[in-house]
Parts: sequence; structure tokens; C-alpha cells
Amino acid sequence: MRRLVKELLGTRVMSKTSAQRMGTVEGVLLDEPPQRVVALQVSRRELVDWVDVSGVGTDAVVVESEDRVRKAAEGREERAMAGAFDLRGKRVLSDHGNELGTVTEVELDEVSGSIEAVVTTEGRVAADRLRALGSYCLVVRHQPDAELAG
Amino acid sequence: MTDHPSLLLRATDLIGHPVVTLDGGEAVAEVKDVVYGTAEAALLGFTLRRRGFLGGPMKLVLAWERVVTLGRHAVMIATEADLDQRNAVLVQEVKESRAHNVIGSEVITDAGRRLGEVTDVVVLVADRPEVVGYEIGGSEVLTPRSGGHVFVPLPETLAVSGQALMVPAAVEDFVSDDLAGFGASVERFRDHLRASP
Repeated sequence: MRRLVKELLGTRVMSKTSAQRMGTVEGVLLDEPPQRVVALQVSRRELVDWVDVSGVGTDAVVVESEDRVRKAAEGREERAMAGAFDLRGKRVLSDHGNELGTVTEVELDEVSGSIEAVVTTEGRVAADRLRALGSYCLVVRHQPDAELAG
Repeated sequence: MTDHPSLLLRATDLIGHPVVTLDGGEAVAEVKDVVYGTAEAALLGFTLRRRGFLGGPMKLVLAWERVVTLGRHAVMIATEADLDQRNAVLVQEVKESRAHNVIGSEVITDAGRRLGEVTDVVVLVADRPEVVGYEIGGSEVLTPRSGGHVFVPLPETLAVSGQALMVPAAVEDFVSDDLAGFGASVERFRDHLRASP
């Protein structure tokens, strides 16, 4: 089912083994080039890998157990936790050097965690056009026949 | 949104544009100045500065052949390593470019008419950016309707010295006084040259 990243943020994170609340979803970490969610940020410095998430519901995100929570690795993961790659409000630039607005929403498949599309202030960009995500911008492929060609 | 398969830009419009990596989505520099060559009357590349309000000059330069695309909002390069500080040709041209480059050169037709002086270089942005013409000022013979500047297509080959550009007399029929209509002029001019060598 399609979910928006916005809907995930703030959702409580529960342990499947203890039924304890572990925190809330504070952010999502994407792979590079951005195609899917690879981890959920559950506190300022901690995250849970997507493979350890057993369910994403409207009321809770359920994780296998508390011991799946881990610290961010140095480098890109740490920068991601600090918000460098947050998509919300991120500038979108085509690989032809033209701006396509800023990101307002990201559509996900809640089962697989794959990105379906990115919605910008100017329109919608399908996930297969996402090329790179940096602190400056999201680079998307130019596509002549698309709603937002770039 | 409309598509922009091809777009004409003045090279100086690129000053201040961010230089963005396709592999990382990072703005690694900003265009400080455009480096024009003398030999080919073309663009050699760009000098750079750091981005932001403390943006100082950078020793790195960006050679024209490293540019993947130029857009309305950014200069795109494949990866940060494409910025180069050992590009001896470009560094030398930067040193010389203030003394003599294509900007300020006289444009003279092979019929012996002076059309004016080059004030800017026009770049066609398509799949691969290409220099397609010049903006010319100070023209007494072309009498533009407004602004005092006209756009002149660049033949695929032309003679260039430090002082002047020699263009075919036929170029006068393909002059445009606005950048929007200039793309068609360039194509018609090149077709014309190919048809009558």
C-alpha cells in the first residue's frame, strides 16, 4: 500500500518481542541513488534497518526487538541522521541543469520500502528518474515526455 | 511545464550558477568567470569560487569539455574530480584572457564590413552544450531595433586573430536582435553554408 513519508514521521516504534515503545520515527534514510528506505531514524543518533522492521501500520511501526536499534555509522549515515539528505523541502534539479521546484512529499510502498514517486511544488517525478541525492539537491533524469521534463 | 530541448544562453549568464555533481547532488563550486579562448574563439571553461557568502576564489577550474550540461539553474558535471587544478592550458588562458580574448574582438565579414564587437558568447544547450554565436555591440551597419545589441551566428569554421573574427558576408542575413529567435537563425545560417560551400 502507498504511504507518504510524512505519515510515517512521528509514528511510534514498538518492539514485537516486548511490546514496548522504543521511540518514534524521526526520519527515513534512503539508499544512493535514492530508490528505497534502508533505515528508520528512531532517535537523534539511533536507527533501525528496514530489514528489521516487521510491520508498518497506521498506528505503529513494529520492529523485531529492541536489540535491532543501532547507532549511525560514520560518514553518509551520520550526515543523513543530521538531516543533510532530508527530502522535504529539498531542491530538485534535472540532470540538464533545470530546477523542478522543491520536494513536498515522498510516496513509498510500505511493504517493500521502495520509493514510488517524489512530489515537488511543480509536479510529480517517478522513482525511476531519481539519480542522486546530496545536501544541495535531488538530481533527477531529464525525460522529454514527462509531466516535469527537466 | 514545457520542455526545453534546446536553450540559448549568454555565457555571462552562467556567472554565479552552482556547479553540481550528477553522482552526488552536491554543489561543489560556483561559476566565478567565463574563460574565452583566443585560438578557437570559443569557451574554454570557467574559473570558480566557493559557494555561500564567504565564497572565496578557488584554485580549481572547470574545463569546458568536463561540462556535461548547462541548464537554466546549474552547470552539471559528472563528479567532483572533474574540477581540475592542473589544467595547464586553462590556467594559462585564464592568465591571458584579460589581455586578449574573443570578448572585444571586432567582427569583420569577408566582404570587408565591420559588424561590431563581440560582447558575449551564445551557448546552445542541448544534449551537449555548443557555442553557436556571438552577441555583438557597437554595430553601425546592423541597426538593431532596440538595445544596440544583435546576435550573429557562428560558422562552423572561421578565421580568428587576437583582434578580429572573420565571418562570411552571408552572416548579415541571419542576424537576430533577440535571443529567443536566434536559434532558428543559427540553423538557417548553417544550412545555407552547407548548401553553398
